[in-house]
Amino acid sequence: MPEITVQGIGKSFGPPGTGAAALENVSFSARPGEFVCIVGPSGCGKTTLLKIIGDLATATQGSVRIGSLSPQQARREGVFSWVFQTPVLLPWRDLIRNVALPLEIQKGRRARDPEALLQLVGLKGFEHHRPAQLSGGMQQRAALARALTFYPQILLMDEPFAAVDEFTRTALNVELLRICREVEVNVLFVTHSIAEAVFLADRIIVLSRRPGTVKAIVEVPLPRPRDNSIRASQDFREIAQCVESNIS
Amino acid sequence: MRRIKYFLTAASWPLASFAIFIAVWQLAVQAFHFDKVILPAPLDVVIAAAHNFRRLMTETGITMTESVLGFLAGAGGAFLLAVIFIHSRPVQRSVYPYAIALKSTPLIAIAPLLILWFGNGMLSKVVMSAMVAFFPVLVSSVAGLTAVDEAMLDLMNSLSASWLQILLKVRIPNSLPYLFASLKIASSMAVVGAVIGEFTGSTSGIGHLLTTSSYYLDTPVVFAGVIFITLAGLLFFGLVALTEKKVVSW
Repeated sequence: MPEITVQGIGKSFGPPGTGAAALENVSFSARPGEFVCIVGPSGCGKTTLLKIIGDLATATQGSVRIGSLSPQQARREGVFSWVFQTPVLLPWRDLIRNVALPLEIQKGRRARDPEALLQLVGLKGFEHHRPAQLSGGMQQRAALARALTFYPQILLMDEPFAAVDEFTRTALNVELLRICREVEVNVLFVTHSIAEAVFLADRIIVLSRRPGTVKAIVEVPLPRPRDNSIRASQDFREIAQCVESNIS
Repeated sequence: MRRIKYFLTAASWPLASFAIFIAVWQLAVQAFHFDKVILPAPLDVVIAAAHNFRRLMTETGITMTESVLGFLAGAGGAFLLAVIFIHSRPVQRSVYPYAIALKSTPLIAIAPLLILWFGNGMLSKVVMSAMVAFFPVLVSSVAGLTAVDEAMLDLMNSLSASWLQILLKVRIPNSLPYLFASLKIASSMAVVGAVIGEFTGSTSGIGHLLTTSSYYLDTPVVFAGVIFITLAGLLFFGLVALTEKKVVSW
């Protein structure tokens, strides 16, 4: 698994010098095998940062390295894949054909079987349901299954559970950790929920308000595998407080 | 079985009102002795239709052939142009104003010119049908091909999808509900275009039948002709709506 190195990233919109900066001098790295969460208040540029790493946006300053590759090279090689805020499933396709979409785009690559992927995310039996027939949480599971198609080494997740209710979210958090153990993948996970970040991450990158800069990097030395009981522990609360004090 | 029953219940109201309307019409014509040339009774119309059934069917068939061909050409051309538009800003910017100008030109004003150019056979009517079907399909196709979730495009780009893959797997399916909304409008418009063409200059078709019959003051046949082309137009619309139900199933 490659190391992700983010070095002095800056992003400003509009012509240079007009001062609409979204990100300023963001540097951090994600070590192989790590689960890294990026948290910050709304509008701090966390999604923009993830898009720069995942080659969906370009930085105006600094550089990103994924192993020895640029984001563009890494995208072409299929090093990473995305899970977005919304499931972005095609409404006219059933689940199995949605999960199989990447196979139609890039033929002949080593890939996981769509059916096995649906089973992995707990959607066995829903192969022929249309997205509209499923809950938001189930749709996001399908999006996760689709993202795992080409054995990605890195998952880029942009607030994937922001739109589901609290109960579904905590359940999906546990599920995500289980799936990550099974498929061995690095995760870069953007969220504005501190509890979610502490529960999932090995390390938390805390971004400041606009323009986003790295305010703190918080280690999360909680033991793995984790389940929901950990949320009640003293350590969990202390780490969450530490993150919170850095945001406000 | 339940669906048939539901349909019968739903259909019974308009059928009842239709029956009353026809009965009042028939009785009124008999009671006030209207001239057949001004207002024929329903029964006169039915008799005229039966007498001229073959001719009515043939002429309706000709007009519908023109309409369907014009519809296919106009809608197909419009969809193709929409695909080009969304991939090329310069083309869209330089051509769209003329498409709007064409839409604003009354068809009836340029009909004589089209007859001069394309003759008084079927071709000129097909052209007129295509012209009226064109614009609504163009507008809604551009809207449908563009109204794609930004995140969906992000997903396709992250998979390094080509523009053709994005077009075929995302944009075109996404545009279908928009497309069919306009196809339903265009199907009715296409018939209007063909009939206007036949009014202007023709040797056959329902428009030709209507003009000649009204010259001879054969009003019952005029009525029958209007009814035939209306029913054919409804059938055309129904077929498009049925196709929509089959295709747009989500």
